[in-house]
Amino acid sequence: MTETYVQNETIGCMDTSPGRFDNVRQAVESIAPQVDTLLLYVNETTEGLPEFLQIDNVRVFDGREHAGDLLANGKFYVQRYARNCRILTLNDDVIYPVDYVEKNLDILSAFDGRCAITIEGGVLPETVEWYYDRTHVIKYSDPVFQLQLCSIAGCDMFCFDQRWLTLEIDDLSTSAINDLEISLAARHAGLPIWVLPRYQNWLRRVGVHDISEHVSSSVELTSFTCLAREIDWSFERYAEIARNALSQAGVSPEQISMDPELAACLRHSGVPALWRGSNATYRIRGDYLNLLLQMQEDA
Amino acid sequence: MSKIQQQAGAVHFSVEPGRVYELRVLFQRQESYFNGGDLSSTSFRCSFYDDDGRKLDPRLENGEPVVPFPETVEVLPAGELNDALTAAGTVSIFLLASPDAARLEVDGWLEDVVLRRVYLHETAIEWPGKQGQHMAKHFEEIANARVSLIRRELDVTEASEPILSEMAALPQRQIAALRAYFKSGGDWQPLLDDLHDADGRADYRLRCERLRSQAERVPRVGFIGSERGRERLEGMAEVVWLREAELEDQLRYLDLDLIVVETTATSGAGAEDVDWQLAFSSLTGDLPEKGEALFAAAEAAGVPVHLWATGAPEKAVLWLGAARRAHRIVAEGSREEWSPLQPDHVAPRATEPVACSLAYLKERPQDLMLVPAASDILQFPDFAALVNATSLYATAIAEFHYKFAKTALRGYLRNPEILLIGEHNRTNERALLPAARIVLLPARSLRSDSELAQTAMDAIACGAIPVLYGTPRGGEALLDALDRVYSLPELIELQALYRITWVRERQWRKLFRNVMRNHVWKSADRAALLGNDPFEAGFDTPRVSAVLVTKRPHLMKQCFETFRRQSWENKELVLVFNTGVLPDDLPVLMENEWVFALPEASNIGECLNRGIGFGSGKYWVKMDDDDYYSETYLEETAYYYRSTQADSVGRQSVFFYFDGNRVTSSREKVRGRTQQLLRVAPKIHVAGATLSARASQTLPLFSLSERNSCDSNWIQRMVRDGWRIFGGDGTSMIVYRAPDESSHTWKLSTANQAAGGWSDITQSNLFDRIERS
Repeated sequence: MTETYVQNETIGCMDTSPGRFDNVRQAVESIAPQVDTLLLYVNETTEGLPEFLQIDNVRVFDGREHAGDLLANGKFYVQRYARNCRILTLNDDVIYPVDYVEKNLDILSAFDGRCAITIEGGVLPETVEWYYDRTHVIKYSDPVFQLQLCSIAGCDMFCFDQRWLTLEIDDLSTSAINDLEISLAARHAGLPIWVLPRYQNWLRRVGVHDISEHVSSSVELTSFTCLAREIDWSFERYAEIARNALSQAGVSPEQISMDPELAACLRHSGVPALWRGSNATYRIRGDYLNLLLQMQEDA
Repeated sequence: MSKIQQQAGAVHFSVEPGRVYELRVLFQRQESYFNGGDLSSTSFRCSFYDDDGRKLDPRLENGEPVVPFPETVEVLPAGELNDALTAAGTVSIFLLASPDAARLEVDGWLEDVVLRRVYLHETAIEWPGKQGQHMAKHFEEIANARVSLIRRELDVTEASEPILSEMAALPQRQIAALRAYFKSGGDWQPLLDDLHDADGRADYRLRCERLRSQAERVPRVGFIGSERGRERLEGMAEVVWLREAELEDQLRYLDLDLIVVETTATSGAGAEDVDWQLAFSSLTGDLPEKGEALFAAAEAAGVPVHLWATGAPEKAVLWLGAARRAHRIVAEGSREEWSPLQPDHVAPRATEPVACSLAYLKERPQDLMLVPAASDILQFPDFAALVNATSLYATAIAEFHYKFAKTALRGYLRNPEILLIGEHNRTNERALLPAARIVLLPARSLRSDSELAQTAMDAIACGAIPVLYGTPRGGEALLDALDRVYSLPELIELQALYRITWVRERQWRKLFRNVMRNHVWKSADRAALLGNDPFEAGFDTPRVSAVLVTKRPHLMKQCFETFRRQSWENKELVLVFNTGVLPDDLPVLMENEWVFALPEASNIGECLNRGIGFGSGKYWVKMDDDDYYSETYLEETAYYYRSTQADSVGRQSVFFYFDGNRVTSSREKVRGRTQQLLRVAPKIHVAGATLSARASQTLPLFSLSERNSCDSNWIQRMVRDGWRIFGGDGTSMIVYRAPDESSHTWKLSTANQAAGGWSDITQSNLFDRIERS
């Protein structure tokens, strides 16, 4: 059953693992009714997985029969079973509001699929020293009053159309799919990454943890930093992508409830506040310098 | 972010005025033999330029640079740069872009130093709140880490210790300066305590009486509509609220010339007086029974009924029945938007400057922001978040259009420092608007753009600056002319800019001229609504006589230029040469220019009295031969009279241009006297070069005996006799001081300057900057 492809559908892609089975039922029950098919990759084993028989559009992929333990990459693995679909990557510890998919698809369809949408977004400063440099970070719980543009998407809750964006990952077992990779894939495809508007705590996490915008325990500069340093992250670059997408779709900023400041900057000039340095910028700079110190000590 | 251009030895960035930038630079020595592997330092410059390429003085904000700029910054030794050295050697410098800044130039580092990296980061820090506090902490951490990295990577000697100390100290100094600059201020409470003060209401009545007294015939109008509508008529008509219950008697006994029905859903002042609810409009457009009864009664009494279409044109169709019955329809806005009513006359949306007046009775408070849109706060969460945050100005929230429950809003806003004003009436609005420096309006609003524009023009007429949050929906020219902010940092930046007298006044005067030119009714509009214009022909453009006395014929060209470029068309020049003879090189005079000569023995008072006596203007305006007058000086003077109904209008001499050292100085002491009725000694003072008055036989003459204190004594006589004096702005006239102080009648001593709180603000003439707008 799992070897068949789905086509031209709205697909949810989620991964889970035995340690998170307590949460996954609520997540699945909240999102499955909103999509045509939910592809659920189960790492390690499906033993102990809550019974989903009553939700007939959930297709479970047992990691033992597929690629083994892929951790969070499971949600990307299952995408190979979808063709020309509208994909929503999903976390397994979130209760999705009833209009979650509708809101994503509203924007996606306004651009005929030629954009990407994220819940958690970040903006890199024009020039980057460290991959985790940010002007602003938008977390899942933050309110976003109107449509915003970002340069880095969170890969855990990301929406796109396979007709215009394909995420081809060579080896899902060794490299974690990174926000940078999907964001650059969208950029190379000429797709703007919009941050979905919502009220504060529109999404509720069940069980555990907050998402941090960077991994402070890392004591080395990763390849992501090298890659990020080579790139022009300026607003002008992303504004051009956004303008092209708007023009191609024939929609105005007002029709998609775009943030007025962003709309004004796209129309005229200027840099939106989200793309300007904030407290987070300087906190992260401090983290970066301390990381370099730590690396010196370790050396 | 900003575009960067690199020229030989200089780097340029585009910038926004009033914004805080973080400049990151990394300097490195070119030669390895310099200082070995140790840290060294270099000086360099950062300069802001305006659109015209003119360099901006860093003292323009308040007399001294806001953010201290380092004398030197660290330079890494020559050699390969690794990640640690690159990060540690990158210096962060905060820069505050000057008012009018369009470009930043970075240059001037030492010749044997290379600029390895330079970035300019725009910031969006909320300096007055917690973010400002956190910045100090973040930069302490950054500085400590940088110093530690440098110590580990370089062979730092004792000679470099001062450089390392400065690495830690500079950001802290800069952040402290920025936090001081962006410190919150303002207090609404004293104003609230005065809200029910009778003085304001009495002065409003006096202004209306004074305006009505200029009418040839004051019509008696029965009025049904809003409080704002009524106040707009009170200066030109005797207005009576028509009451449902008393209509018959009112028609019988009041001898009304006219009934005006404004397109509002109710009529009356205050909740208990409200009547005629939905009496003239309906969903079908039919005229309800109550309204029909009024038209019938008026017809029987022989009183015409005029329909006055104001507010949201989207509701025009509700008023079709009333429009069919009305004798005349006067609509405010465009003919197109009111087309369902087929108006007989279309007037601009307007304010009445006598009602929304500049005649503030005390010193205007600082740092107050009014948000007269409480309903929009409840409706739009982004607007609520903006208002709820800590900005530079104290915030008061009211609602000028709908009713709102204070308790509901209080539960919604968590900032306890925000003041909620639940009581809503027009008297309060007239008291709140002029107290506010900024009136914040949401571009996305429950109210229509025409209603937003009404509030904006009222605010401007009162002396406040309306600011839009967001992009206007389009179609209202006045809204398009307003400042816009899109985020809290932008609001804070703008509030800080409007703490600077000349920046604030320049913007306000521009808006004020716009309102007075385009949003105050003229003769045709009054005539359309009232049947006849109560005022005589030319009332809207009174003649202004500029009286100029000079003993310096060599300044004659400047005198003519100053007069001829005045924007007010109905003007005349009376130029008196106090030299006994007319100059040989007099230019060809225009038909509105007159020159006379009086002997040197005549004192300035006699020259002025004779010049004033000759002039034919409704107002005379004294001008000096050497000072700088804005080209809209006479125009704004006429507007000040219209607004304040004063007997005399003057200006404050806040800015002085010293030609000797080519510096503009600002005089802090007198800033507080601007834009108010001068009633309380010792503040009753206006600059001698700016005196003006109604041309009237009853006002005092200048003394024929005094030579040096003629101006100030005239003002004192005006005060003593109880005349009404208005002190206008402080930027439409800038005092000129020649290199030779002895050439001036009023001698300005060093002691004067020390006592007056002077500060040099720019190494140029600020007049040129103020005039460019």
